[in-house]
Amino acid sequence: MPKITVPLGPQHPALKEPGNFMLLLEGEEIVDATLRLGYNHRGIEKAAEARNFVQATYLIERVCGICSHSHATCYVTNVENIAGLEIPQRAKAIRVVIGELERIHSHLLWLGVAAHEIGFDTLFMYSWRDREYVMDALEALSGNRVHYSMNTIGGVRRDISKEAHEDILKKLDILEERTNYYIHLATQEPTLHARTKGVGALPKEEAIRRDACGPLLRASGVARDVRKDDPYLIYDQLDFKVITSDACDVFGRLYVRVFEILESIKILRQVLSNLPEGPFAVKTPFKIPAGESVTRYEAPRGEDIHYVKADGGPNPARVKVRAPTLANFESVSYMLTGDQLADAPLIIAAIDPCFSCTDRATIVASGKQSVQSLKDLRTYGIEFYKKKGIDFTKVK
Amino acid sequence: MEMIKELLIQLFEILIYPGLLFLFVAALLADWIDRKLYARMQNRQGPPWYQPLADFVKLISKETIIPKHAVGKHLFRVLPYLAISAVVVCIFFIPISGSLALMSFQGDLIAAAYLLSIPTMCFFLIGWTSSSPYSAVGAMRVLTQFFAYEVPMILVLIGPAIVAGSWRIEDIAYYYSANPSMMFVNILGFIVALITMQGKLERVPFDIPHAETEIVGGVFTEYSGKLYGFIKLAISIEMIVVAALFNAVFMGGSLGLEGFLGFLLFCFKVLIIILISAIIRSAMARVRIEQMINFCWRVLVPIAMLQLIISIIARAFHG
Amino acid sequence: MQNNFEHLLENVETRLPRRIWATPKGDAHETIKKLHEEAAFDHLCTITGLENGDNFEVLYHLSQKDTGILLTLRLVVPIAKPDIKTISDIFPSAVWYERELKDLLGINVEGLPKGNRYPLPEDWPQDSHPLRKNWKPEETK
Repeated sequence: MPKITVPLGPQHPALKEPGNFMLLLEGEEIVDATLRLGYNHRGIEKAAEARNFVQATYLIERVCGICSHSHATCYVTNVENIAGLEIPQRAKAIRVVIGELERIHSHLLWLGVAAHEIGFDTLFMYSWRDREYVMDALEALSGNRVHYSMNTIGGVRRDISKEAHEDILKKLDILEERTNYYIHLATQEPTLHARTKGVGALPKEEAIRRDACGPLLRASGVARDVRKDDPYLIYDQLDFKVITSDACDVFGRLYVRVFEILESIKILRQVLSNLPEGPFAVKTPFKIPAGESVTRYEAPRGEDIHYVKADGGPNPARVKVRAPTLANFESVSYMLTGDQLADAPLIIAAIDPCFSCTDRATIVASGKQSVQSLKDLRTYGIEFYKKKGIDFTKVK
Repeated sequence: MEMIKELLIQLFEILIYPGLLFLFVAALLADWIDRKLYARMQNRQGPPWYQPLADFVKLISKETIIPKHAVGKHLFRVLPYLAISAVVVCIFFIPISGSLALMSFQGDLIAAAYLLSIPTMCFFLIGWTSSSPYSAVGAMRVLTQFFAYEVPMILVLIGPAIVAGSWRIEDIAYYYSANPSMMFVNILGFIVALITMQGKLERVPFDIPHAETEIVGGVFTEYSGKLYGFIKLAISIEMIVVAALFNAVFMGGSLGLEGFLGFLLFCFKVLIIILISAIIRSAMARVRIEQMINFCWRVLVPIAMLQLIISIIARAFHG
Repeated sequence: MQNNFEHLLENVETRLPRRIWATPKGDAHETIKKLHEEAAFDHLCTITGLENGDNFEVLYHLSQKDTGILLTLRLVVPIAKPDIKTISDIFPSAVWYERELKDLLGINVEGLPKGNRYPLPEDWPQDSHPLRKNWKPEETK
């Protein structure tokens, strides 16, 4: 049978962000896969060097749209370590609350994407609908759905009010019920089994050798979780399990993620029922002394590691971001080889790839482009909706 | 005068009812009902009733791009029309509102099954002439899938023919209208037929030839504009025709009702078939091609054979 | 903390619990190989490259699962002669981090497997390295 090369990406319906996978096919079987990444390189690491420490917090938060809190927490922890700040317990607890809500949100999003890759659109619609509960909770806490901007050097920017607190607990009950439904579905639906079991095999030894991390590694039977191994914030005082699966395939990854949602709900209940009193931020020092720090954080997709170096000046001298997806790419070509073309999108989706995280950082020196100021855009937007009869100026 | 009247009636039948216009409207409506049901099952709002028409008009008015590297440019242009005409011709053999079809002859069941496989062949050729990697993989999948579902489908269509003792769709429908209890003999075959219909119409779980997350648009990747609009229309019409065929063969056609009442019954039964298809579509994930072949040959074919034996026995007792 | 790997290292410094900073004693490649094989550092977190005065610093972040130790191994190479050896034979995932060092800072990595560039595009000039301190973005109009 002749071999054909099928390109998957950079633009492809299966990929939500650009990345290129050249698949060499023999019939339906993949015999080789070559990766090309970097389409989303935006120069964030370079740009961070041109901003001061506080500004860089918000820039780093924009490394990723899903795990924005993970990156921001990782970065501010580094800066706090350099400055020798001890942040209040309440701030730590609030960071955990946002972090765990973000994990639930990310895993539900993944469930939907994976379901779409195997053509199970009903599950996709259901899980994304339920994800709205988490999004609403996050919005109630932080005022934003995606970039929460909760972190600041020395603590968090908003407190959790009593009402928001009760609201989240109510939403958690609904989410727990829905998650149990997904667990039921994952264990009962035959086509889901047929499409995920034995697909994208990654044995334990290969997973360790290739430095995989996060749910991908845990689904290969390795109980490695930064929250347990190298506890940060208040994770050492919390009771939770590290979910692992010995399935070593996509079904294992599905299993790990769905059960992790339940663990996150457990963590959230513990933290919220026992929220430490006191201030939620300390004063940021005017000057960050010279020094360097490296921090690990368990983002929804796996281990996130940041390195920050300060030289005593107003701006960081170097910010290095290693997102979990980059660590997992080394396993992708291994998992793809020998599998069916039909499984390729699912295998790629199963690591929950986030190309913007991975590629981060280039300032595109393109020619002329029409740039509207934010103010113009805002007026334009208001006028546009006024014509449609939506007028916020009348809202009291 | 008589001749002109005859001619006008024939023209009316071919162009308006049950010919082109009726099929066009029915196909768009069926498409909308299917999409709406699918959306409601997924907790979505779903499109308004005119959406399929709007989509069709939009596609018709768009520019058609023919790829430079297409192998047979004429073939590329002709194939969508070939597919659509094959399914339209097929409806003439099937009784719709009454007990009579527009055309009928001994063995038209085979002819209908044959005509229904022409669109599939067209889709295969469409993929082949496009010569893009996605279309090529899609074309291979169309053909592989065709060999999987076509055999059980034909086998279960034979069942009612044996029971009724005729290869004419009209006769089969008439027989079941007269003996409604005999329909239950074919219940197994009907279930198999509904499953293979998902394969014929390339719907979840058998939408493998154009699995968009794997091979983009599959065989239709290179198609655009008018030609793509007609392909879409051909698939929608095929859904109506297959549903009408199943109605006549398995569900007793008009059950003796004529005229408007018969038409209402027809609409109702086609709706039920679309509903079942939408439920299957929303409750399942797409399977892989080799899983589909295994399922068709190891599960559906034995059931179809069993059905055939049941039909022969029923014929022996009843006939 | 009693460690069985300190004989491989120099200038060992523990700044926070579980955060060890050190420089390799002797050849970096050999040290990392020994750390991997003898001292259970089975996970390479990442490699950071940075410019510090006349030198490049290459930081290898290695971790141990059981203790949660994150060891940062500092290798200093002069900008005038920026050559390092690849560690992708020990940790396959190092390929991506080393390509990043090559593209963004211009460090020559000896023995790096052939493959696509990362993260810069194929048509990016070979001698332009955005993370160098003297690299300034072009003004956008």
